[in-house]
Amino acid sequence: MFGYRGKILRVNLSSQDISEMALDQDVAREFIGGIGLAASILYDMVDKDTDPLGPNNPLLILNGPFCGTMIPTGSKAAMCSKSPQTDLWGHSIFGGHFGANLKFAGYDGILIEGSSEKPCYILVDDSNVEVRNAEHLWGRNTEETWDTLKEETGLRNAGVARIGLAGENLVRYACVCVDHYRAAGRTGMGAVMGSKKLKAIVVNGTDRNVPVADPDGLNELAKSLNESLSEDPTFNMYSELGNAGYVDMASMMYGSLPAGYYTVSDFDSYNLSGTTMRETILVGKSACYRCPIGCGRVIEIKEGKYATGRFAGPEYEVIGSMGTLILTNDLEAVTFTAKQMELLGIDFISGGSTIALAYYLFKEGRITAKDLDGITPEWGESDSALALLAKIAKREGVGNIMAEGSLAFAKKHGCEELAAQVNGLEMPMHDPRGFSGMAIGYATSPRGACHMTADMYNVQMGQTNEALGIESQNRFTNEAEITAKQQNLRCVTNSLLICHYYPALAEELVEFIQKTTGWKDYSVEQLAESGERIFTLLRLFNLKMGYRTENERLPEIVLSPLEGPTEGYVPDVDEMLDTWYQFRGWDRKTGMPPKKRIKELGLSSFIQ
Amino acid sequence: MGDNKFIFPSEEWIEKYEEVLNASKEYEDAAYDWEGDFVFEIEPDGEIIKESIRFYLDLWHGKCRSARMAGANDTAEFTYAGPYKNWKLLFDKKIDPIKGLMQRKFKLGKGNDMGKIMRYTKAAMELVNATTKVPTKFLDE
Repeated sequence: MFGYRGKILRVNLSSQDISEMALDQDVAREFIGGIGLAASILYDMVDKDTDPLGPNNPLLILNGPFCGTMIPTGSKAAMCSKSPQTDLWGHSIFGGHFGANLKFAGYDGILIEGSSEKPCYILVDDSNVEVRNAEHLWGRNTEETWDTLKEETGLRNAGVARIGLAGENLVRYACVCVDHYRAAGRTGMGAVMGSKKLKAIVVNGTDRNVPVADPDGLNELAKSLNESLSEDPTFNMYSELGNAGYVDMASMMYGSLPAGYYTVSDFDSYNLSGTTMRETILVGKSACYRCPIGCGRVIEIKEGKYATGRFAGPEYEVIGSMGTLILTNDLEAVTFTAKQMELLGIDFISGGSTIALAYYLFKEGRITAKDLDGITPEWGESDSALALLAKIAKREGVGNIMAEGSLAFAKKHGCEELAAQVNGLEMPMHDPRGFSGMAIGYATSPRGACHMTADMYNVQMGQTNEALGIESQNRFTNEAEITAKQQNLRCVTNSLLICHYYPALAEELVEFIQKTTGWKDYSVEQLAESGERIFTLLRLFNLKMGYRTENERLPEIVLSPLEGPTEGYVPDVDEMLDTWYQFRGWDRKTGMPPKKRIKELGLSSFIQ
Repeated sequence: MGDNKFIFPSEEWIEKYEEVLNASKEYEDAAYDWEGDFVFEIEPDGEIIKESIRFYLDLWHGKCRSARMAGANDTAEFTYAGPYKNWKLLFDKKIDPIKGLMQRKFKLGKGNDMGKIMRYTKAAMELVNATTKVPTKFLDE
């Protein structure tokens, strides 16, 4: 079985049982790996009544067929579970070296069930697997936890996924930090780990010989593609400036970097960009396994209020959520805030957006200092954000309701429509008024307002995939059909677990698949069908969880026109939904795909 | 020059372009602190363009200090290159300078500073906007 190890490790934290389950080759071909394979496994294990923070909600971490091979950026991994933020499908994809280590240890994934009585961590050292006591780590931040685990296991190069205080306290948007501050940020996977009293997972693998069908061909293809992509502008931008390199373009050219909690159009973000970072606090770069880009930033602030030793630099999303969204353009302040979020284990997007909502409501007079335990947030300052973060991570005072997310917080204050979220997941820093595709993408994403299941900002800026019919004409028109195609493509890349920053075309992905797995007849058409199959499966999963099409909408806060680069555009989500449902051939009222197509896609066993 | 239009590319076109650019308030504002020169290169396509054609722009603090046809050995801080048909798309505003790069219709010279370009996306747009104000006749028209 090329590209796979053929087995998934299974750890039950309630019974402490450790076993393995076989990965069927046919299932692998149908669902690939990552989110596709995870959805096919988890579908039968959870239902509408499963408490996402209860012992019956499994956590499944999978890598993909490219993982551990020479395919550039193909060694990411996915954490999947029912989401405590949305009560729907949850996944979060992360980089680092964790995925490759898991593959080298001999596994395509780890299925974690039940929950431990006491804090614990899982140690996978090749085939030696243990559940170890983690009481000494409970309450410690993600940096201390990482350092301690490397020290006590003696595995200095192991992949380490760990939670901070937020995960322990079941903050619904707690993230999982992985290796050098890559993160499974979205949909609350840190809270799922916390609910299992699982502080960390340490994985060390030594068998680097991942079997592939055509090693020489794969090597050659990877080399030539790396060479040709070295001229690609996005490749270069991420390499030179990190994803914060996009800040200037997003704010100045497209108006898609939201500011002042989605109400300000002319905020100067010059000081927050990747270029400024390079000129000021940047001291190095970091890269995931087999990544020629190295988008990770390493910074140091030598003196002043926000002084910090070498640490991960802020990336685009937190520059938005803890910078422009609260009208702060102090890069050092944002960097320091981002570091606190990583130490506490809080998702940059949901955590930052929830705090920014508090700033906005305070400014609008909808809440007072009394509602915020005496904190008085003002646009442009970061001290209040830092104070609120600490409260959220501990669920202390106002932090308890804010830990539930921006929707719960807004509901408490009678202004649900002001929470920038869909299905309970906060919007990332890509304003749908800047790109119409983001609007329909958010409304129909399997995991709430999400930019990773349809990165239409890339497409509407010009990224194309001609073989799949993905080419934007105008960022202010109804491109719902293109969005659906991009969603399908992302279902494939999120199952292959190759990084979105590596701009491979569909034909190139197909070549990689053929040479890795030996599926010689795999074609672009099959890739498109794989994407449709996985997207459809995610919808079936969500329907089983109680998905409601009434929630396929955007909140009012992002539906007021703004001047500037968005040119007053407001997306007509309803019209786009018509197009989207028509293209997919699904029932718009129920959200259900037709049985005939479900059968054709081989998904009949996933109908309730 | 025919029909009061300037043939692109030609010395006359570039001369007119320099004049238009220096009259552009929008460009001046967007590029008020820009310092750097450009070589724009029209790559050979085997049909309309047999050998690469290059022109040089010295851009400084919102103004164009000089513009001229350039030889193969002329260098600049930045090179922006693409085939003739894509230059036409750019001038017709069917694509913008950044979209052109994203779509791989244009490329920047090896080692050119992406960060600096990102900083001045507005200025880049105005550079293109100025081309639309030059009455242009293309070689294949």
